[in-house]
Amino acid sequence: MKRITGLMLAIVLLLGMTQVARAQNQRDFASQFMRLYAQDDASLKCQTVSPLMMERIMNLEAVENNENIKAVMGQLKSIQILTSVGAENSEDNYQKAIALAETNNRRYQLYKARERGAIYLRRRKNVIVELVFVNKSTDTFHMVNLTGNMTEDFIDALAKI
Amino acid sequence: MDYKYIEQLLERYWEAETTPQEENILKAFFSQTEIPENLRRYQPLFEYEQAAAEEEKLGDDFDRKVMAQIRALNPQQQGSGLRVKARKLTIGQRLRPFYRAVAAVAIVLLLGTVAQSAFRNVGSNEPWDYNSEGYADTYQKPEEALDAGLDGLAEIKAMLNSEEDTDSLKHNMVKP
Repeated sequence: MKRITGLMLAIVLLLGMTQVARAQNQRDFASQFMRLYAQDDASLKCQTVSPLMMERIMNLEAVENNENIKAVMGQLKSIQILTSVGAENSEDNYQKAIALAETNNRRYQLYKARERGAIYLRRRKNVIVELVFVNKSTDTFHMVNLTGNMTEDFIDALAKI
Repeated sequence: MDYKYIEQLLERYWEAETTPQEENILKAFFSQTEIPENLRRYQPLFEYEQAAAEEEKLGDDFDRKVMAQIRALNPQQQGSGLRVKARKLTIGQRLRPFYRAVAAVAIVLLLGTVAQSAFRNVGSNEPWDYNSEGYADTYQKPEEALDAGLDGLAEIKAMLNSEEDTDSLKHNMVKP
């Protein structure tokens, strides 16, 4: 009995630690994409605006004086922009991004699609916590990954900036 | 009467130089009823020694008697003395003392991590669930970061304002 109790306690502890570790290590779409595919394409670059930098941006005069930009930026926690050049790389990265989103379709739901691009949304507690935009042109690939606490009005506000 | 000899024996006694015969002389002397005044203070010491000598001591057959009783309780150990059965320790038994230490460390780590996570989110009820510390800024100046951010937002805006929808991915679309 003692052994079973000890074993159960050990399992519960292990599960608990796994869950906490998993929560600590959650990645957004762009970070996950870079982790998986950055080594395949030397031209793939990532520009990051962190939550801390977002706070500093909100204090800029250019933002404070523009209600539309303020309304949009105020809902964001981070911005990541991935780019790659070259026709082959662009096509390859675009297909990988679409496949990654489709694989995680319970997490990222397609919002809008066009011939050479798509927007995916991740919702949590009725809030848009992540917006992923992927786009491919002839020889460039772009991904814009926004995270934050975005309301449904965010999309409309974004169209106005 | 001159008790010089006794006093000399006492000096040797304090120096632990007396022979057993000389100590017996001292004991016999101090067991008398009449003892000079200047030597009377030593009498209790030699009386104690005599009393201790008369106490019961364990006899030579004590060990034999005790072992006989032990054998009577454990019939398997008859014969040529006690037999101790060798016990083989498994690796699990050897490591058992470490299990509790590992469990204690695991509990402390888990509680510490949970507390750290909870305190980080105290007062925050937001749905955003990523780790702020996981982001490394590309730009050092907020103005540059703003320009880059706006460029990215402009691309999204262009697509949002686009009328075109493709069928290939449409089956998974979720409208707000």
